[in-house]
Amino acid sequence: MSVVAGDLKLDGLSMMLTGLLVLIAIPVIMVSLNLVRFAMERDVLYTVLAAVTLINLFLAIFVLPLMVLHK
Amino acid sequence: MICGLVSGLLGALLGLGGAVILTPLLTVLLNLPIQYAAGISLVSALSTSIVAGSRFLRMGIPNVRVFMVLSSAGTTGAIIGSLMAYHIISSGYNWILYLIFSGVMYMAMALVAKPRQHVMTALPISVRDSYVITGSYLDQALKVYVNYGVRRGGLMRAWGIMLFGGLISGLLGIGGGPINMLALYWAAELPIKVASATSNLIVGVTAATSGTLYWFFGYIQPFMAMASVMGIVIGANVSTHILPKARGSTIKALLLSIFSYLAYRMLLSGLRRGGIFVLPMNIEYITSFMVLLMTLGVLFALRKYISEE
Repeated sequence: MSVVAGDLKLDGLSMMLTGLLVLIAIPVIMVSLNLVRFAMERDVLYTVLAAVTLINLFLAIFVLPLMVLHK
Repeated sequence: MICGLVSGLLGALLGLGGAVILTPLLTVLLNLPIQYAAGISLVSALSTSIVAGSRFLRMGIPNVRVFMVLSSAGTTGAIIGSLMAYHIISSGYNWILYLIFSGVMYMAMALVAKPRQHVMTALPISVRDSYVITGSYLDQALKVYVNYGVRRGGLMRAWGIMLFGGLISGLLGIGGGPINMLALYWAAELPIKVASATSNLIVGVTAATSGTLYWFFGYIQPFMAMASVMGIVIGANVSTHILPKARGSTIKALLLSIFSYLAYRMLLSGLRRGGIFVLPMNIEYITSFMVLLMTLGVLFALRKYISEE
């Protein structure tokens, strides 16, 4: 959130961090789109595989940092 | 930024992606600790993968099913690898990473310098049933649709290799392009163009996983990362323009010998930091220069056997 506030003030550092966020977001979006596609095709195996990938990504983005940094 | 430019150029010429060259350049020339170099090269691997991946996806070359199967392995490996890297670095053993990195570089060299291989032709239709995944793509050069298939055993082997590849990628902060190619081209037996395009997508997902973890560990410095990303993008674009003219095994031998020079310096600095084997600086310079000349000589002698692709 502080990144967005910094963008509005045209802060250079938070612009760079926004770029980084976008870079990380693109594969996440790609995988979730694939998840939806396979789910619509009722392809169970590939839906599960896409879900595993997505869960791994979210694990890396949200869960593990909290676990590691608060140890 | 200049390092990014150089490595983008070299990486695209060798067909490896810049990260494998960017990390040693940053550590050897700028004396940056390996974890910061790894963070920077992760960001640049991510950006090159997205830029190239979108282009390939529009051409319809990568196989999305194979990508899905292997990226589940790759992300798992990347999480384990970057947690391992965090523990190794925070307990002060980061010289191990230098050694592993030089090992990976030698492996990548062996992959790049692979002997010429015969071209895969379209597979007969009668054996199609034994394939789990089939696909086809339009080959721009040959102007034909190429059919291909993946066997279950090949996919399983590729999955295992990819788990290891993700681990290395998380550990060292490279995109893991050479290991992906090993999994896709040798184990899954995809055609080389499909393999490299799919590997590009997998690199993106793997680098996103370990990149966020590296970010939270504080190994990514935004200023240097963005500067080298800009360098790499420019370098990669320039090299796609000069690639048609520069093709040939001679230039490849030249680039590979630079690569081996960097790998050797990486090995020595790892040994020095670990305190196992300490050479005086001037001897290190002389021997690494000798390694450069030796590989140049050997590769020129073996030039006929190096593939043109």
